[in-house]
Amino acid sequence: MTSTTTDILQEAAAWVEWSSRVGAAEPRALADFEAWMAKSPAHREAYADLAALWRSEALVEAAAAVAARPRRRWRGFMRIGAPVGLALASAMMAVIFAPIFQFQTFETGRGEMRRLQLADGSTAHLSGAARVHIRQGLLGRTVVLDQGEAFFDVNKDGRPFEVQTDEARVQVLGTAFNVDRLASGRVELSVYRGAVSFRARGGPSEELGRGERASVDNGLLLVATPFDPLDGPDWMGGWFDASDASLAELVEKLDRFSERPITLANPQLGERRISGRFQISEPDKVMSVMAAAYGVRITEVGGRIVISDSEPQ
Amino acid sequence: METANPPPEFSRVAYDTHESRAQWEAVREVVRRFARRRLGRADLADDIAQETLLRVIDYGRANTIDNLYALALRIAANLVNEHLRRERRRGEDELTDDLASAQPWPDQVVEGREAVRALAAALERMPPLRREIIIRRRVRQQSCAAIAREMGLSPKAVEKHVTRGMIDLNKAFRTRRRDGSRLS
Repeated sequence: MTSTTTDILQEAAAWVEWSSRVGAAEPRALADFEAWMAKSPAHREAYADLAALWRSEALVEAAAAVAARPRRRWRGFMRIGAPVGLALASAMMAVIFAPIFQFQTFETGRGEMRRLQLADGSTAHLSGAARVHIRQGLLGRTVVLDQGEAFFDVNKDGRPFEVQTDEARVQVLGTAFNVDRLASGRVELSVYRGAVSFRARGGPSEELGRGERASVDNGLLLVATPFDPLDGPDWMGGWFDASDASLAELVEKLDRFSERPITLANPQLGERRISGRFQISEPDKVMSVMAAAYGVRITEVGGRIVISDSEPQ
Repeated sequence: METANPPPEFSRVAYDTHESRAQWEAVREVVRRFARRRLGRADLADDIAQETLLRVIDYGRANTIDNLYALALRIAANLVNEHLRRERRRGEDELTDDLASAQPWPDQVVEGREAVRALAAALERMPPLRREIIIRRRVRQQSCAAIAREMGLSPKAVEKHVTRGMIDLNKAFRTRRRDGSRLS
């Protein structure tokens, strides 16, 4: 059996990681490592290359520079302007004096992502064009997701933590999960760590664990196929993975990342089925792909981008 | 005294059987490749590989070696870093003393800058969680266990992110090289 270059590289990365971690190596792993290195020159070369990269000063320098770079949230902060800035500043003061209470509304603009540090130490990452109301009180913690998508990493502190939309409820104790409220009212939930209880308004609740996802649509809760929870939500890396999604769904996600609003010329067009992996953080790129692949026309009308059928009307 | 001829201890300890000879050659090759990648110079890499093997053998006389490759790369990394420090000091001196004689130095800087830029861009493209883990590991020198604890992840998940991050960075680095050669 021969292994491919990709396999070798992946195994080499795991061994370099292992070497960087274990001081006094476990004998069994050490024997495995030596056996692996003895396989072929290609194995040893891959190990040497990755070790050189991992130990390079260039990597430390690059990582330090990236760590020091302000994230997008600060840019968004400026854009919203002084009133919100002042409100936030006073809220921060409030946080210092009463770290467990928080009553605030946050909004992101199109194309903006923002990471919120909540009073209880939990974090919420907001995708573009999202709005949340945070309510943290003595008895509970609530986030109302009006629109858009958010990834939550929740600290356990004894108080229940609930995410609400008009259509659905997610209740948690200490976990990481993503909630997407689509314009249609459909709510999609993916659990990355821990477990949550999910229910449609007035419906029975369903317990969902790590790697599980479900949606609420028209009052109906549907559990979907599991996913790999290792990477965090696609949108945080700027991607949308569509398998048999509607064009309307893709357009909605693109719209969140676009400086100019993107709309469909007619609703029937939005029902078209699409599949693929789209880099939604680059709406222009995706739209040129769409034009070629789905035969749609992209036009700009008065600062809006309109997607229409390519046949002349 | 030339380093090309191994001293008597070296031949006695290391080159006594056919297998150990092959194993030492494999270690030498790994060290040479590691050093060449980091310094971009084959002649220096040969010297560092030779010096590393001598030091490994020296170390082995007084200590038991459990992970031969890890020890060799640790020693090689120290030699590489020493060399880079010397180089930088010399570069600074030359830049202040005589700009004209420092001609090769800015080239190296440009090459290094480019690598840093490519790696930084790859880090920016990563999922935020993975980027955070790489930064904690390489910049803040945190252990995987500490990162797992602070970020509420399993140690396995942290290891997996580091491994995948390494692959991402390697890809960016290699792409840069190809682009570089096409442009010139």
